[in-house]
Amino acid sequence: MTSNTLTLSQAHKIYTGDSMGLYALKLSIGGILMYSATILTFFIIMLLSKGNVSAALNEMSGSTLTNTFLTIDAGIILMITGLIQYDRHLPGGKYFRTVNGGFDTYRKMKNASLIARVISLISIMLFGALFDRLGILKLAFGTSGVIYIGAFLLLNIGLVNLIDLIKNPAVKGLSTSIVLVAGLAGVISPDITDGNIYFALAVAVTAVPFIIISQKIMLNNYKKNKWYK
Amino acid sequence: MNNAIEINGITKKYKDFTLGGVQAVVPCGFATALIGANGAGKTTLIDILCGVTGKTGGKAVYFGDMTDIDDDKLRNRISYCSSANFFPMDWTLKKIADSMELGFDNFDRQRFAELCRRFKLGDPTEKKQKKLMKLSDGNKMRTYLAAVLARDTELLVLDEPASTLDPLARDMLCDLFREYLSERDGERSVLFSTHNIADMEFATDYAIFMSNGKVIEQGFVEDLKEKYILVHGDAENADRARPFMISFSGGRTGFEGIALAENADILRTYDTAVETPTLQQLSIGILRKAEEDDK
Repeated sequence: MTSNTLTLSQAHKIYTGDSMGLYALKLSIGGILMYSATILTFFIIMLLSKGNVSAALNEMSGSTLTNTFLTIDAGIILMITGLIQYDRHLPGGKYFRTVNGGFDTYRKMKNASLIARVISLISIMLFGALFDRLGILKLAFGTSGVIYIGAFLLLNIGLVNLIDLIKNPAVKGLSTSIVLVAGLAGVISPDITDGNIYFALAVAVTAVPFIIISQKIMLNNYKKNKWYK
Repeated sequence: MNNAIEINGITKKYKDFTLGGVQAVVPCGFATALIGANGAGKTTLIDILCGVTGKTGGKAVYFGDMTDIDDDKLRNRISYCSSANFFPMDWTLKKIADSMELGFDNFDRQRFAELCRRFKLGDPTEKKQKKLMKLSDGNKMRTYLAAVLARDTELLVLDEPASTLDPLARDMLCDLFREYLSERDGERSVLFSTHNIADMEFATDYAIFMSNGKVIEQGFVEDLKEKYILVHGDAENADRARPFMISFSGGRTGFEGIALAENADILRTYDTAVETPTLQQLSIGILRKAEEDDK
């Protein structure tokens, strides 16, 4: 397999052992399970507090806290996977530098990982929206609320790329919490905009070039400062 | 004679270490050992030669006319393995095979399975497999070796392959080198770094000695054994013999060290015994001299 003919998915498989599709599926399932577990825990707490199922569900439905859980669970998955390192001193780091294509294969792998993360974000959001539509667990602002969360988490994917530029590990660690707080803007902003869907769509549209640019900046920085050093 | 690699003044500058103007050759058709103390620059040099680390200056010419290590044609002629953590620790034999099959043009899955069985690592096609993190250090290294040897290449570069292996496995490693070299007689070469000089002596044809980022001596082992002699004698003659020796260690009863063979006749007049050194003795002598010079 020559580097020119390597697809994004194959490059991803070289680095992780999983194709891009399988990785997206694993992330989606992971995110959905995490959200379900959070909701279940929340439900059990409410049940103990209220004493019956319908009262517990009523208390949870339409609560901003439910939107917050969806944001945090999806956000954590996106952040952790976005910050996975393949540096030379880490296991596999030297091997990856010898495979066909060298840095070009790394670039393809990172792009595949980005696509997989976006797919998993959409999947987790669709799951949240499905819960809302089926009336199992209503979210604040319904489907609109889900679109807000998704749009702001898209922006966060770009922010995570920029965090990768930070050299100091302590500052890098602190920055991850800022990213989560920024993600919560997707929970708060529908209150300010009255759930106006166009605002959320505008954020999502803005996020696309932001992700592309931040991905390029991150890759160029990695090539210059880490790949060959 | 052809060289698998000609190293012309390769340098690499770090904050606290400089690999300085390395001049060396890795002859084609032989096993070359890179010998030096910890921090001598062996790993840095190997990493540069295999495209794992960038260099600050200098040039390496591979197989007579290739210079760009980022060229896939060249990458596919070299098998490289680092001393530790060569693959992610959560990988299994199957994941290694899946990755390497896509990562290189010449990875043979069947040969990998054969080597895994030979090294008693199991079958890469089995459903239930152990992750690398659950293997002993020796078995991890065997896994890395199986993976790199499953590629059809012309140069095998191994960084400290023997350090985690038991004596029997080291012996097997020497046999593997011989097999690798003899499969395509004269066309294949091996470059490895080692601390276990005694165990790897049988596998070493050519030696490059490094100290403090520089190559201090190199040559075919047989030639080096003619160039240098091992000298030992009684303590009473130590002071007279010492000026003619390049490395010296002595106590109350006697002394021992390495000297240039051209001084053999003089040293014999001091009632000393002169022998052909082993590679281990030679290495200690040469490296000790380099350390003293650096002081």
